[in-house]
Amino acid sequence: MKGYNKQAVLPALVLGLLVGLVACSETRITGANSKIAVGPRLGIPHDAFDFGLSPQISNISHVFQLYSVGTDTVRILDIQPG
Amino acid sequence: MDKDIIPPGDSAGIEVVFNTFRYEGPIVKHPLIITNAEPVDGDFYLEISSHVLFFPDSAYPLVISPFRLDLSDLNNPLTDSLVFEIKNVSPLWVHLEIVEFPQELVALSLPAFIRPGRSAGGVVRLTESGVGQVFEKSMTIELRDENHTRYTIPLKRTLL
Repeated sequence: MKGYNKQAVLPALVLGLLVGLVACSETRITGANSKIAVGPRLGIPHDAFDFGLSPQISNISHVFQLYSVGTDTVRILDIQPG
Repeated sequence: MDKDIIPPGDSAGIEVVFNTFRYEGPIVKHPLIITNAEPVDGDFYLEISSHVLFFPDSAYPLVISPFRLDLSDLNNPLTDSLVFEIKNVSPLWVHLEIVEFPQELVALSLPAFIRPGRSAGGVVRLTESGVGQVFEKSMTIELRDENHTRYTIPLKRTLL
């Protein structure tokens, strides 16, 4: 093949193939342009909360919502205080 | 945490409780949540922050009194309520909005606004399900000012 450098083209082809495989393994097209991530995946709309002003010696609390947005069950394995 | 397994398409709530102890000033905490989720968000940090007041009476622009609400004496959702005072110590009108409160346990009523230098009352009642429970929760309100100033008021019920 004139004008092609085999040594440059081959790695590029392999790299492109790998990228394609990774992309296919991470999403599944379910129709109507929607994609669901394969495996256990989390969606967290808000990961921070500001209580603002609060008094000492009190317990104050907030509920964070976690969404399972993949195809497998998400398991909460541990929670460590900050 | 209401459950530790979340099936696909489902959701779960993680309740983060912050004990203000004798902290004073701005505090930020980052609890770590460890999960089996892929690829990089399996383990993630949440962030909670607060400005803990040593002298709640010196809060600005509102002074809330009492700044901790004990609902132990409330027993009848129809007749019993706890009124707390909200004083606007600023020279500006203050508009209030509710950010969060435990709706399954209490009903909350707040004034929409408070004129400069005036006071108004907030009212907390127990719901039917709240009457039968012991709890420590909180409610957060936000002012419609340029800083979006927030106040979080602890709610406690220790006696049935």
